[in-house]
Amino acid sequence: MSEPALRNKTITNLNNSPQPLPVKQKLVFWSVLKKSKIGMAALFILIMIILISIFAPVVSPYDPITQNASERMQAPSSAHWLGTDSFGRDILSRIIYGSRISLLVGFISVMISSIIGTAIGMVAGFKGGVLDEILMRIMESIQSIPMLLMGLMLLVAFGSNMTTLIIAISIGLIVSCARIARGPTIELKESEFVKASIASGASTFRILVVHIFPNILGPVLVMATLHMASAIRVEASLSFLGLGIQPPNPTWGNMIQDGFRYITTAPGVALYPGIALMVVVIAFNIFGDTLRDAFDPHIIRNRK
Amino acid sequence: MIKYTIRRILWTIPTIFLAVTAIFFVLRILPSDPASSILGENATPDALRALKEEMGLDKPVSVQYVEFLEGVIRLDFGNSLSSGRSISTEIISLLPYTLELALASVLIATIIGVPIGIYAAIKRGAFVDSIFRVSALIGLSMPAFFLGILMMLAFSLKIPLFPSMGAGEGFVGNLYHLALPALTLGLIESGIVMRITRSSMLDELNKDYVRTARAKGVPRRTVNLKHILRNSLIPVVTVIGLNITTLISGAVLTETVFSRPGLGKLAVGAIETRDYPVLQACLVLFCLLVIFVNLVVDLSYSYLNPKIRP
Amino acid sequence: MSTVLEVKNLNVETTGKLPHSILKNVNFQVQSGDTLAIVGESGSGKSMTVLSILGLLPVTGVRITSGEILLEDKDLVGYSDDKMNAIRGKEIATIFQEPMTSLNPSFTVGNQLAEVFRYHTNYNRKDVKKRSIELLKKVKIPDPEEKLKAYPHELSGGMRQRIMIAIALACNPKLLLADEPTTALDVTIQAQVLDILTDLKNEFGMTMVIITHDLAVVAENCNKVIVMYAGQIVEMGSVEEIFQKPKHPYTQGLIQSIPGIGKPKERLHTIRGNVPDINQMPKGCRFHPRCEIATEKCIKQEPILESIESGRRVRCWHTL
Repeated sequence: MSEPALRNKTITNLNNSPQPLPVKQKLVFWSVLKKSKIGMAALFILIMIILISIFAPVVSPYDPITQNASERMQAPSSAHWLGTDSFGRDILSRIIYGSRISLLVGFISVMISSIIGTAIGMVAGFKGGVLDEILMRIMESIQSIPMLLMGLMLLVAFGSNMTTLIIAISIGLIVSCARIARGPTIELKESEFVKASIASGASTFRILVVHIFPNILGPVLVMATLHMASAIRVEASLSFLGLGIQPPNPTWGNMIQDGFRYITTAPGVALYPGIALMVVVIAFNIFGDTLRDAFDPHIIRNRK
Repeated sequence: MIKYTIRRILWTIPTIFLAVTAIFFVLRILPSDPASSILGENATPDALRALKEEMGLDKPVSVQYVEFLEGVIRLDFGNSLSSGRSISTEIISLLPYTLELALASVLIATIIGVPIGIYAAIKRGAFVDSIFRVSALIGLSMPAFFLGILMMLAFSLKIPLFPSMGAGEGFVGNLYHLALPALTLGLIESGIVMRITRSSMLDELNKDYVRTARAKGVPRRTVNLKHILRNSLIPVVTVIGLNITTLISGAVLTETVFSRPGLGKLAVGAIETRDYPVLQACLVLFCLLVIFVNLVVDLSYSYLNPKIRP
Repeated sequence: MSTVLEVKNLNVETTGKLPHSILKNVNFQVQSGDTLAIVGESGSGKSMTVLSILGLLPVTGVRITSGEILLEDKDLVGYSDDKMNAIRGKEIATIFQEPMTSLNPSFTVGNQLAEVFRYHTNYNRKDVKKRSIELLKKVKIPDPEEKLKAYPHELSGGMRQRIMIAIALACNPKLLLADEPTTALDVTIQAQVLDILTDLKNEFGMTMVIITHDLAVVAENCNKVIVMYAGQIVEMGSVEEIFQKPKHPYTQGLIQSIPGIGKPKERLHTIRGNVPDINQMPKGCRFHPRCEIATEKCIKQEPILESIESGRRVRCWHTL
């Protein structure tokens, strides 16, 4: 059989095989997602916050860094909706600018960890054997260091800057991405359409990207959304401990740390950025949870 | 079973080795000069040399590494730079506080999470179920340090029920000081426990043995609370165990917020004073703790569930 | 002879805006001492009939819309769950299909047996143990005392099914429902389990309903047969009548598809097509798309279950 003929045969085989149809999946997924009011509310909040952070210079009433000694520790007023902090800076403006760092750190570390983690998981699952064993052992070692402590350690060693922060959080998140990708890869490896592909001589890279990746995209997306919540929470925790992005640049974590000193006299200074942090983390978790339901065929069946 | 146990225990050795090595290299080797970063830019050369000698930084890396590994095996981490005391002694004196906090919060999480999880599973799809689901999500989303601040604000500053900081004397004083930190961590953990209880109850609900029990005339309530619960608790126990990393991170933050003595506070304090040996010891210890708890959970899981034994 | 169970015009439908019929006008009687077989392919409504009798239909999704289920003179359809708990396990006992999963993996055999006594008798611990050992002996389980302490996963499939029988017999039920009692077992074990079941049925003087798709089981163990198709009874009669003179094309098809020992190596007969989905029920006779003798009339008009001889009923326009 000539090579093109062989390839054609593989293609017909593929069409007959019970490969999940991404298009159909997407339709079901949207209809389930739309039904969840709370999920849609979370999505709406997230979109709003992302827009606010993008347009921070337009939206925020004051500069977040310029200090104003004459307006220190003011209570909320029409001039300063959420009051001012110990340097006379407008808290609302600082919260708005703080969202940029939270979202940016979260987004970049989730991107990095999802790409690397998924790749590691797929390769480990697909190749199996010693490589799988070694990769999983490394993952287990990474996992034995809690993410917060991983961040703490790296920030202490390399100094507090954005790059280190992002690397630290990414390393912490890689493990669960790898786990999520590995399981389905092992299952899919045994499926007819992947076997057909292997038999027709497709390269490992091609099989992983063309056949396996589209099938684990759902779980990876869900994981990425939930990871946004974890990343933002860890970033804030590290800032709260005085690591991470340093003042005067506003982050929600260092604002809470600063406000915590005045917790008895002016709780609002710590409370408002805390509430912002809480809302974003909860929104990502709720949206991720809704996504998970929407992707889970089991739940769809139950609802039908 | 014995073969599996031995194999599982042996497998932890490379894991521990990898993790501990990573900690060593990150903290000892990567910062260009730990001694000067500890003493600051204005340190005299003599002081620097003395500190390097004390930390063993003057020796070749390979020697330092071997000494470090030996230290880990003997659980001897040298002396603290700031207090001069033996780190092991310091850790042993602080360990009870952290353990107490961890155990109390797991207990609270179980007391809150398991019954609500069961109830939500029985009432699946109903309004209360979605209320509990969202509450659980809110609970597990809460950054520990912020919930700690909220608790302190509510139950210590606004309504002065509990102390806001430190650890107390004697049994009652201890519990009194433990209340808020433990509740903070416990509430966060309870969200996770509730979710896993609910989902594992749901997994069991449609199993054949449930139908058999009902066909015997066992009332639905008893089937739920006896037959289903017994089978769904195994994953719950596993998840509580595997959440040790959340618990450790939470303890670090809660101890900081409530100025409570403990390993977390020790580690954070070590960062502020640039006390590398103490920080390193804390990290190694947390790491060993996580690996050990995972081992225990794995082994007890395979013991409870003989069918999955490889 | 008295009637132990009578199902009258039982209708079960899915809930929701467009209800689909799952069981349609099911009518039958079981006389005391009878062994009735309900046969049909999977999806024909056999198991739904059993669950309806037990009052164990899923809480959501399906419900009994009309009909009566009379256990002697009690109509079980109106019974509350609490009242049914007193009936289940005591007056009606059940053996389910999957012995591998039908026992709770976390409790010992003894514990699961004792549970029946706990809810239906006032035996003390000693009585319970004594009765349990007796029962295990009756179902021919070796070292009954040891086996009481065993967990289900420590026993073979055949042993577990015997335990299920012991649990079912614990309170001398009037009626024993056996839902595919041997389907999941090895052929040799099947025979042993069926022997035990028949022996004990005779010894206890029980009435039994066996649900199965295995006609060999029917021929050897039952005296009456109901053939179900797509939620309806299509034919009923004594075992001899059904096997020797099937009147419905579906029954005939089922009988012809039994492989026989000593028969010449001919191709086994198969009924073409599948049982229709509940939301795509054919109009007219529900069997017509698969029937070899179907006519215009079968497509248009639904046949009724006609009584042709005493105790013999057929739902077909072209009775064979």
